[in-house]
This record gives sequence, C-alpha cells and structure tokens, in this order.
Amino acid sequence: MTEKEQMFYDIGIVDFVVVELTEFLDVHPDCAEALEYFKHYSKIRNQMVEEFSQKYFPISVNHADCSKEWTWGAAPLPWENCPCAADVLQDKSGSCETCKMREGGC
Amino acid sequence: MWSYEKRLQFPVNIKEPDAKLAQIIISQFGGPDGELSASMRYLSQRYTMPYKEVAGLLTDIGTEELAHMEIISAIIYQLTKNLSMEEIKESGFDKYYVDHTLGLWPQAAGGIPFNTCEFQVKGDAITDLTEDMAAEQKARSTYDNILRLVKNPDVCAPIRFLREREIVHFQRFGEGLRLVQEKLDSKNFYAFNPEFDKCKDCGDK
Repeated sequence: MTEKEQMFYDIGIVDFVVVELTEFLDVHPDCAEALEYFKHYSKIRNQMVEEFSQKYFPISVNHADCSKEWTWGAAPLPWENCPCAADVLQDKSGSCETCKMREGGC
Repeated sequence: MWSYEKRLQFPVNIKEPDAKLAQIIISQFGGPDGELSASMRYLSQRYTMPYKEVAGLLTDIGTEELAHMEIISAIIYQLTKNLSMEEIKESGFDKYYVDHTLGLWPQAAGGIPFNTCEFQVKGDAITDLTEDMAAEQKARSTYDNILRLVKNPDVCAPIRFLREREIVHFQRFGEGLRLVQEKLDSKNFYAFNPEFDKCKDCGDK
C-alpha cells in the first residue's frame, strides 16, 4: 500500500471512531470518558484530513486550495473502483489489502 | 446544512460485475428497509422531537444513513458497470435496464419503486423511536438475508459493516427512547404526547 492509500484508509478508520463517539455522546452527554476519546480522535481526524488534502486531493471543498485551479472538481469520485484493482487479480490470496482498503481513485 | 466528503464511509472495490447480485442488493437502496428509507425517516422525524439530545441523535444517525446509501449505491454501480448486452439478458437485469439503462434508481429487489409509505413520521416520540428500533432490526435481517445469498468477499465486507451499524443504531435508539421515557410520567408514559400536548407539569424537564 502506498503512503497515500494508507493515509486515506487511516482517515476512514479515525473518522469511524468519531462518528461512533458522536452518536454515543448524543445520548450519553455526561460520559466524561467518551468525551475525552472524542476530543482526542476528532483532533487527529481533522489533522489527517488537512494533511491528506494538502498532499493529494481535497477530501472536502473546505480543504481544497483553488487559488490556481479547481482542485475540488479534479478529486476522484469515491464510488469509482480503484484503478490498481487489476493487480489484485494476480494476488495469490485472491484479496489485495491495497484495493480492499481503497476508496476513490489511486 | 450538510457538507460532502469525497470518500465512502467504508471502501467498496468490486472486481467482477454481477448484475444478478445488484438486483438483490438494490433493495437496500430503495426497498422497504433500505438506506434511503432510513435516512428520510430519521431526518424527517427530528423536527418535532421535543428533546434536543434525541433530535440530535436522529440528525446524526440520519446523516450516517446517507453515507450508507452511498455505500450501497457504489456497490450497485460497480456490480453493473461495463455489463455486456448478453450479461444484461442472461442475468434478468433486462427488465431494469429497459427503464433505467445502467443508471441507479431506488427500488426494491422485487421492482417496487421507492415509496415514502415504507416509513412513518407519527409525530409521537415513543411511537417514532419504537419504529426506528424496528427499522434497524428489519434492515439487519435484510443484510443477514443478503449475506446468505452473497459469497463474493468484495461485496460481503461492506455489507457486514452496514449490518453491524444497524445493531449499533438499534442500541442508540433504545437509549434515546429511555431518555424520552425518563422525562415522562413513569406511572403512565402514554398520558400525553410530548410532541403535541401541552401541560404545565410535563414536557421538557
């Protein structure tokens, strides 16, 4: 897995934690432990999205640097297959961590 | 207000198209217990929900359901991409194809179009949250049924993720219902409808 793919995959994991904690805190607003986790992971999540967007492509329009060109429109669409999917077929195990973990273009 | 992120909540990467499978999974797009139905149910119910924690929960789960609809849509899109005319005919996808080509249109596996009658907004906190809990279980059963029919690991992985989310949301709605009941008369939860009736000693305590 390339660094780009790894970062993109990691954002998915950390964001999932934030989604899960958000829904938990909605109905357990006084849970200090969950709040600590939320603070920790939402900070990491935001840093990761910011860093990825600067390095590769903007994940949201708020993270797009469009001072020179329309980079938001150039970002890959998340429902498209990973172009490296062809490599997977050659993988003996029949599954490729790279592609399984990919969303959007490579 | 919403903002969009160009990523799926769970990755979808299907190598081989399979129009037969797409016709089954489309039920979780536009079917009776599908993700479109789920998101519209919660996002519609929240306005008159009198307790802001629970209205917030409906908003956040309703928002996650939109992301689930996108995962299901990505699965259908990838399962039907680049189909040949022969594959369309042999798989029985021709009946869908004639009306929608390869475009995505919300319908149940049996071909019944998406219909708002698949969900309810009763305007009663207890009734709506009980419906929401049932909806999560119905979707979980549908995913169980899909998993019995599907062997392709590329398809199973996101379906398993979605199934697990149904169980978590069932739990959260149960906690939301408990929050509502704690604010009501413990001797008779049904004494009045907190979304409608006004009385001095009841409502948002």
